[in-house]
Amino acid sequence: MSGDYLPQELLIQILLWLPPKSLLRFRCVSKSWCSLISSSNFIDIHTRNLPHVTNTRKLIRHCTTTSPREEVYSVFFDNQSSFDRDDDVKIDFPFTSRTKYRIVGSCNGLICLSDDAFSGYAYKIVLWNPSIRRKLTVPLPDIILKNMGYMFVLGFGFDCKANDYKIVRLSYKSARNTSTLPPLVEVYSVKTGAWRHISAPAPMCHISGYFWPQVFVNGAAHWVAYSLNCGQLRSLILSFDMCDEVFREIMLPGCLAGESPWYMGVVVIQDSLSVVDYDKSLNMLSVWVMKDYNVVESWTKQYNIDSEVGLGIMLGVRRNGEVLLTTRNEELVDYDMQTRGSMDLITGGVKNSFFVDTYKESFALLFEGGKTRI
Amino acid sequence: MSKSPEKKLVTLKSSDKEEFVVEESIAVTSETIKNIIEDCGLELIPLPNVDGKTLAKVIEYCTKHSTGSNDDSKFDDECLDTKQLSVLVDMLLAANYLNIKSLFEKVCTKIADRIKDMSVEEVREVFKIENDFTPEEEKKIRDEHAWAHE
Repeated sequence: MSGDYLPQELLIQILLWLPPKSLLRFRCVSKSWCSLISSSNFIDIHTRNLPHVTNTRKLIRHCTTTSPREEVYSVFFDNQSSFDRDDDVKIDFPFTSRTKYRIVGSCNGLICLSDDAFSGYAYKIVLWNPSIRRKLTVPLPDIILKNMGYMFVLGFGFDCKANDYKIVRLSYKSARNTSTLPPLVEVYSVKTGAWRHISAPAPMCHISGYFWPQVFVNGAAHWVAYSLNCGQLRSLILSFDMCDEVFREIMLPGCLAGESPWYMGVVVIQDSLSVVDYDKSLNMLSVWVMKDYNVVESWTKQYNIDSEVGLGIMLGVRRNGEVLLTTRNEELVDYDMQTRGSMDLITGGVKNSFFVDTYKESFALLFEGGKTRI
Repeated sequence: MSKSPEKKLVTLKSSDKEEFVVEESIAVTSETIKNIIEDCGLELIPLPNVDGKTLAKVIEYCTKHSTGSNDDSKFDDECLDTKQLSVLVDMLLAANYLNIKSLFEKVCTKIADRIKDMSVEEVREVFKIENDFTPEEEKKIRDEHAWAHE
């Protein structure tokens, strides 16, 4: 009885807790293990289990100031009293270094990058899953817009009902001082490999900061946005739900609604949607966390950081509550709110190239992506 | 000695005829036992799919968890800290048969953690699986994700 015979349905319950690297290796165990692990049914189950997997590591990306610039991805153990590199995880960026990418967002360990901030004209969107070394270059939408005169906003996330990763693109036609409404909206899905229009109405607001990462939380992509009514500007958060493909507006706390949307950004803190409000002097920032999603009264001011050194971008929060942010000198620091002390983590990065997220390992792109060279 | 309703006792009998007297309130942590008691009203419950050694551990787990305290992670680590993976697999089969969800999940993640960094050969040994690949077939599968074997 002991250990000799494990029915497949029980074996699956064990396997779905394993990281992809182990599972891909175990395909060699036997024919039945191979077909089980490679089945799309198992991959679906494994993906659905991801929210229950404890994530104790952080992924940090930055570009070096060398020429040509290099993309560096490091993984750190995010422990209570230490933040050490995980040297067992080696991630090599698989795309040409001649293209300058910015990160659109990441979800389940799948990273979406684009070169739109740098090439302006015809641009590339790529998807990459470093944990299983798979990548995909997304074809551009069929609708060819005269790129001069359009501003493109990208969002990236996961549709949990269809078990599919999606990219949403909003194309705003430029107008004097702002853009015309509504934007053209298209959605790309990894499973279909194609772009299409959505049936729900396009949003009637503008998005500031096209080139900052959006965030994917609670099943939707979020951006800082604003509406203009008779010249009166009101800041808000725009969301796009990846399952029902509907745009919604989320109100900011009262004191932020009148603030400039170009000095605000969205970030995820301990799984909650949050807004960072940067002071124009860039010496101070405050962070508001929406404790209950979509409940406006639950907006709570959680952090207030000021620094003579000058602040860059707020990137995230460690599991012990310490803040990860960049300084004006483009160093990534770990800032302790209690002691007001900071520790350098990474120095010498390209301005605004830092990105932080929880490090997740999934099978995204296993079937749809191609192998990376390495 | 008077028996107040909360202290009702049942006897669980393992496959190797070992008997365990347990408070009913603890025994019903197992959905299977709960159903047997509700349907048949038995006081001596035979469990032919669980041996004595394993049943003892399961009862220990259920006892600790019935107090409802949150301080169980340390206990669970000790309870599930066994050198032999086969003991964990036995507990998994028992938790499945007895339908104890929390124990089942904990044992699953514990086993997963133990096999995570194993080689293909080690996994075959643990689960007593025969390699039915030819060397050429195995190499082909291996090469599809060669980096995973480093």
